[in-house]
Amino acid sequence: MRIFKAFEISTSGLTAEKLRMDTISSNIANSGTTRTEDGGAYKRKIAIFKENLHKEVDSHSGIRRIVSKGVKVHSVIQDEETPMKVVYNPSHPDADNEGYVEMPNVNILNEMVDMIAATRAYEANVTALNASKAMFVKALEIGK
Amino acid sequence: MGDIKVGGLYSESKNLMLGRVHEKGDHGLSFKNVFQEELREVNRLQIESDEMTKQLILGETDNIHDVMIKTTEATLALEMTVQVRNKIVEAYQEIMRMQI
Repeated sequence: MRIFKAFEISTSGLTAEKLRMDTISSNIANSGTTRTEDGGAYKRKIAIFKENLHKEVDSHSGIRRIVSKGVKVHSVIQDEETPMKVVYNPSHPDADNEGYVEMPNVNILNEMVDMIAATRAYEANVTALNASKAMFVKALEIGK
Repeated sequence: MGDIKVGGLYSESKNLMLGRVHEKGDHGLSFKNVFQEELREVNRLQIESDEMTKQLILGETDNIHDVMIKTTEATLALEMTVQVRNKIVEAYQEIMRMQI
């Protein structure tokens, strides 16, 4: 239904922010992980968002136009930029010959800040959704 | 609902005044058809919202916001239907009260 378009856009934002939150949770949970499927320590994951545009033909006038469908998750990439933490711990099973262990490049402080950003962005989407709902309800009150 | 066409009411009464009797037959979209179509849409939203709630209870979906939004959409659509219905009844009663 076209009248609920703002809802759909806000929903896409909520879904995207939820995925970002999942990524951050995974980073925090794996902040001490030294073994992964790919070998080596865990690498920080980052969710990349992309604007979701949609080509559409107007059913009445037949005019083609590009409409926004909100946001979509482009991909989840691994952080290769940040150097891995190296800790001296000879008793660790994954330590190298010199006793150093490669630890994930996750910085808990950064993750906490990202988490706040994701939570606030989620809240902003809910606020936008509630505002469009309030507008709709107000419109129903016209002429009462 | 019978053959009440609120949109065409004005032109029909004008035709009556001019002594022209409107011939039977639909010229394009009648109000009844549009309303029926919209009712079907509202029903679809209700079913969708039911489906989503069921999925949430069964643990098949983890997006609570999707369920909440679908439920809100269904509620609002129903609310709008009630408002449209109120307007139709109002218009009908207005005509029934008319002095002849």
